[in-house]
Amino acid sequence: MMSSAAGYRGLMRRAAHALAVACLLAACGTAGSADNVAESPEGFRVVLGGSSGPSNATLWDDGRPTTMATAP
Amino acid sequence: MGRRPSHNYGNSSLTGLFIEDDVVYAAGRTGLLNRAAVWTDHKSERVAGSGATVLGLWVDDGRPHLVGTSGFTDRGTIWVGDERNTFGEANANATNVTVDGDDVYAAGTIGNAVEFAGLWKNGVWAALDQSEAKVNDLFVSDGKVYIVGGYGLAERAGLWVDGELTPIDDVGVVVNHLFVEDGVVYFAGWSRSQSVAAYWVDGERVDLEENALITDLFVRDGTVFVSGSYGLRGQAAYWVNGERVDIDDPNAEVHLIFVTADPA
Repeated sequence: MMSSAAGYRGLMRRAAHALAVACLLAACGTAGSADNVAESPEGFRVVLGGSSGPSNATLWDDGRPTTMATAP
Repeated sequence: MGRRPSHNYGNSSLTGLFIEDDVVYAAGRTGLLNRAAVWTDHKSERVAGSGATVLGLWVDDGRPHLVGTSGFTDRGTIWVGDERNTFGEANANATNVTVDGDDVYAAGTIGNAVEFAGLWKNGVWAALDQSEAKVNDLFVSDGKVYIVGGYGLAERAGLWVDGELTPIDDVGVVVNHLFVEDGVVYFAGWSRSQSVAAYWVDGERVDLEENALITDLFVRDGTVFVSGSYGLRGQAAYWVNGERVDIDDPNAEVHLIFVTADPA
């Protein structure tokens, strides 16, 4: 059976690892989650035109994509 | 407001983008038959004329002005609202259109084996003086006509102001995009020797990062916006005064940019 001090150290080590993993995931989420990266800079409305995938015309209005409907 | 996911409504591509009074206009081609279309706040409408293609878009007073080709012989065509007119010159090919006051300007080329570059002002053709000239972009501000493109056999980059050529001195430069605001001339392109994308503010060159490509240029209140891509995978992005903003969609390609003041 472990002594209480060793058990406490082990517990703290696991907590530190869990905290490090949580911080890493949070950091990854911030960098990789691109929900906000294409938002227009303050004071401007940026609209982009292009495509999302082959021949799939898309407008990004303040970062929000909309695919263009086919004309009748 | 939440993000609206993209849906595949069929194959379409865009060649023009404009915003007037917060209404977004886009032009391009759509569907299996590649029919020319204009979208007004995402509602699509076919452009009149068999085999029509649209290359340039400008909106003035709620009326889209389009240039491109139409008909079985691909005649150079301008559409103003519901009205369609073909240019009288043989093998006319208009690629850019702009409106300044009551005047409508279109730029492009005429001729077949020997092409001449120039512009139409209210339908009247005037060629640039230089041989082998090529028009890449057109801007008209306060009655002054600005054109960027290339000229001569070496396709040297140049800026024309009211028909007068100013060579762009950087060696091996290609200039494709142009904007004028408060008398300041902005243009963008790349250097052929090292493929470095760059834009110029009043002749002062600003390089973007390596492996970048500029697809469009817009200036608002002195702030320079360029769209394009960078890196070996062609990540879509735009730059604000040289600061990059990534588009999160890995399949995105961005060809056009338009910027207004934020109404909020």
